[in-house]
Amino acid sequence: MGNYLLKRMLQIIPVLLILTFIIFCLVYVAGDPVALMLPPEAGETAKAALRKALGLDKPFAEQYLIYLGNLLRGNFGTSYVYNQDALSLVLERIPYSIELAMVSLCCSVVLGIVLGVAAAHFRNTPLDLFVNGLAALGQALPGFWVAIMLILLFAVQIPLLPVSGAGTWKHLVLPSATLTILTSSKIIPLIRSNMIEVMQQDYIRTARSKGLRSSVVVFKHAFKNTLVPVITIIAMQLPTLLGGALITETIFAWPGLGMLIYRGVANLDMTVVQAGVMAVAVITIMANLVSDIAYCLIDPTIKYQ
Amino acid sequence: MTKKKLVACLTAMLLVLSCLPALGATAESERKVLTIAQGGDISTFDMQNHNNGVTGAVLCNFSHGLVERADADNSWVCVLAESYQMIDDSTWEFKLRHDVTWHNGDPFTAADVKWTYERVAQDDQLKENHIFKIIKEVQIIDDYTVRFITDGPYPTMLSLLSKNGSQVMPSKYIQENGLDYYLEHPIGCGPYKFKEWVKDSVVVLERYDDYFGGTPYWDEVRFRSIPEASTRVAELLSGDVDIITNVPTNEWDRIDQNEGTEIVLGNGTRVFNVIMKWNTSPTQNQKVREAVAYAIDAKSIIASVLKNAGTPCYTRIAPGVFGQDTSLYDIDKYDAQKAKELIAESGYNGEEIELLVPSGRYLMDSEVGKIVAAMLQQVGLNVRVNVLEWSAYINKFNVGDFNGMALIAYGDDFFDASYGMNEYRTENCTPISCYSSEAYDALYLEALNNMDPVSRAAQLIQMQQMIFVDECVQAPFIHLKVPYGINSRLNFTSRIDEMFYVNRITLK
Amino acid sequence: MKKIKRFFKLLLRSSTGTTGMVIVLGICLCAIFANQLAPHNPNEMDLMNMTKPPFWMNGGDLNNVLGTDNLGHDILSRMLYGARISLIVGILATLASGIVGMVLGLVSGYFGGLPDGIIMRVADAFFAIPGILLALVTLMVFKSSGILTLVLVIAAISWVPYARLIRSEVLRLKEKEYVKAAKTVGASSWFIIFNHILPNVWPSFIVISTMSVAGSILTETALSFLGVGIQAPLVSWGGMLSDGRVLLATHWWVATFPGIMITIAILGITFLGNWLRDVLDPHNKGL
Repeated sequence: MGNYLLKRMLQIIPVLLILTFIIFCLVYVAGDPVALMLPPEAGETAKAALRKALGLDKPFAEQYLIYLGNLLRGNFGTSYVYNQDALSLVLERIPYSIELAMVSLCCSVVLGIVLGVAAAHFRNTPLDLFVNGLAALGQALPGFWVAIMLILLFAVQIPLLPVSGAGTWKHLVLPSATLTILTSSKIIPLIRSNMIEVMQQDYIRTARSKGLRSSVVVFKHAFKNTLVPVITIIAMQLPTLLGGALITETIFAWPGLGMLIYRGVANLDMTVVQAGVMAVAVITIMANLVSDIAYCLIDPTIKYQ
Repeated sequence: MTKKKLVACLTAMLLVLSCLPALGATAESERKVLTIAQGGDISTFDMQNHNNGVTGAVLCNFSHGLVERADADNSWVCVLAESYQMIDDSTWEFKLRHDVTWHNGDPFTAADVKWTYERVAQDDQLKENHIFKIIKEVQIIDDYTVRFITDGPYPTMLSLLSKNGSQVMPSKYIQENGLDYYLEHPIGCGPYKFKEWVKDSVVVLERYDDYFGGTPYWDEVRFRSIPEASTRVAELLSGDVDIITNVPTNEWDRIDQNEGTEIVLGNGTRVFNVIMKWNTSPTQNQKVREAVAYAIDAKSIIASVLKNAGTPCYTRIAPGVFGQDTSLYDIDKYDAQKAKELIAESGYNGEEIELLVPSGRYLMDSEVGKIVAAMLQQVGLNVRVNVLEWSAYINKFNVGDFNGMALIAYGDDFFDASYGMNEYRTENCTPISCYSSEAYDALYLEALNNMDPVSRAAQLIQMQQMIFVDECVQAPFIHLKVPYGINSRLNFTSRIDEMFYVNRITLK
Repeated sequence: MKKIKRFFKLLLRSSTGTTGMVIVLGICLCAIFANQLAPHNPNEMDLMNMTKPPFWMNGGDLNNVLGTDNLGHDILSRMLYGARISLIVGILATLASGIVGMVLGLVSGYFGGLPDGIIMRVADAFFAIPGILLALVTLMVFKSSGILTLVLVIAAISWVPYARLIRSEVLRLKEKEYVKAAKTVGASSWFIIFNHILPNVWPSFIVISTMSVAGSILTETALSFLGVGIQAPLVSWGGMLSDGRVLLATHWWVATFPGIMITIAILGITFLGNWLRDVLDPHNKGL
């Protein structure tokens, strides 16, 4: 197993390298930010000078290597919009994104487990159908509709919660509710089908035939083994919750990474874009690694290719 | 401890804890806090390097310029300056107030004026450089007297020193600590000082007690950034925000009918304008361009999608801007028949013209763009509309990447027609539009150095006639009003430059 | 003929499966016969009748059954034409990502070793970037907005689950007796892939394709909301949602009807996909 873990950790290096290449290609194709950095009245000589100063006139491969070198030194460039180091901008926003993502993830997992297990246990009953319907609905609803509806209901009609912004725990409720609805509806069917499959295993039938109470069977034996793929499922939701939540962040004016990257793209502020995308991707890759290790520790019999 | 005692203790603790929020609340409710929500965040505290209205609306409370414009009639008011006089055509002398201090206690002196304006005039990487570079030098006569030397006669000095982006920066503080330190711990000389900036969320300014203009009205001012329009409206309706900008037309009734909120339609300087390519077919044909100007039924657009928040206007210069040609304002130029005749005469062969339209930037911009395209199609032009979200639009627009026409609504924070009419000079030929006329260039230069306001105004009017009537270089058609949603507890006078001088916004 | 009969018998046994099939067929018919079914031209503006409510509300009439949007377009007509674009984008994007994912999954699973390593690491890198961000950046950077670009971009962010799933299927099938037998006989790798592996991988492929159409439709919706999806004069459900989002609090019908349409479509596709999976590929736990 130690071998496997080592192999797994070494695999991260090529992944990160490929990641930097993908991101660099996007930045390169985005083209010349100089036209946006200077006012339209600036002459061509000024623009050419700035281009040279930024190293934008060098060939592709050379620019990539310079870019890579800068990355290794932690230099992601400067945002031309904020006139601030791109990495520090991203780091300012990460706590907000993580706060929202963690709360939403926890609620989604709890909801997912409760409803998924219940649906599996009471399989093919009206409860199962109801839960399945809810999950399908949650996956089909457009995210912004859920967000705006929640605002109208719980912040305007019934002035219970603040409409938008960040600051107190109250500001966290509606945005995380939105994300929970969207995420748990993806998790519920997965947990449900996992439970069903586990409950059909031989050792469960043995436990039942021994006369153990149903709930004991469910919780002591089946549930623990369901947890394993759940960890993978959770890790899979991270990219969406951290960076892909930009629609929710925009509607609730929640200053997270998604909104930062969106604004960066809108302004062609590519240093911010690549720093932000990198941050999300790296966190995801680390989370996947952690989940793989956890997976391995829980069940060493898994053979990995 | 016995169980009973434990319970008693816990209950006592809970009672005390539950009172605390109430205590905080009473303290809070005595503070005067104003919250304004705009559709974006400020970009920087560098006064001369933002060039956008959202930032300006915040920073004008943080620092001051030598002169500023009055709320009611846009006339000049001395603020940091005590008085001014023109010494000669290219020399202006300003006497400064003695009682102004920066938020860290340093006195405001002539050195700050010299540093601020020579910096922006010389550093061509700053966004305001292109308009301030007319300043050759700022001479310090004494600690409270400065002289501006311009490069040639310059009649619009006061417009320059009162525009958005002309506020003074603290020279001693920046020279001692560096610009980067200033950007993170900014200080100004206005009524409100820096408390906090959570990017893309809120800028919080608090009362500066030693303000030279007296104790500021509000204890705290919060400028929030809320990109989603319906969220801004929800915030206004729930009472958490006092003023919102860029209110979509469909929400106006709801806000007016809601008790405690109302819509204020203020004046602005934006005029919807159809830009047409000067040197590509078919817009290079003057008759085609003139047909576009006649084909747009401005009145019906105003009455329908704009809910009467506009006026027909056939020059890009809006009322309130010096030198506007009033004969082109509030008239009805719509004549579909004439447009069709012009197209027939022009020899237009039906080739496709693109109309590039932005979305979400100006009031009902994508809707107006689509309607204009339909109106042009009705007179026989084969127009294909291309609606893009603002950032994609502006990237294409800036490099002229559109095949024929683009809809835009230029603003003007200089309030002098020479600013807007500058675009049509040969030397300002860009991929966007490239009009060129020796006569126009000559007339512009004359007006540029003409120190007599009466004859200069006449020259500016003549320039507008040349561009918008004779040649129809572009087709401006609607002057927009600016919708604000406000909480009825406020006394609010909107400003034509769309700035928020919060010290003069008071409770009723 | 017998096979088709058997197929329908199986289908009718499952209520969700039947519902799904009915919904999907209904939407396809709407898309195909939009010209005949739509009461109005979807791009016809009517400035006199902007934001008219649906016929059962005050101010509405049967001329515009579901009301009009902020430019006076008839909503029902736009929904019918929108089905076309949404389906075309969904199906094409699925095909594109499916082909790419299939090829890469086959190569990766069957040949193993270095190609497997490289492909899987590239997949990891792609998957770590949130799909919507990658799509957004790509679309803004390429500054274009046609259907083809959109299809390619959605495909580029959707191929990873395909590749991973096909790969794990191939790994499983590789161990089967008949594959090992074919190898010993000396059959070439590609022969084995086409004749033994591929036919058995189809069921998983069909199932995940069905789900993928749903995902592509939702992605198009999100991209249109952000302003980089389908542009006028083409009509798509996502575009309609985007037009109506400012109006949600005052003229709810402009965004709600296309929203309901999207929800029903996704539900239908999901039900159909679930049923297909239960029938064709019971081993699949779903992704």
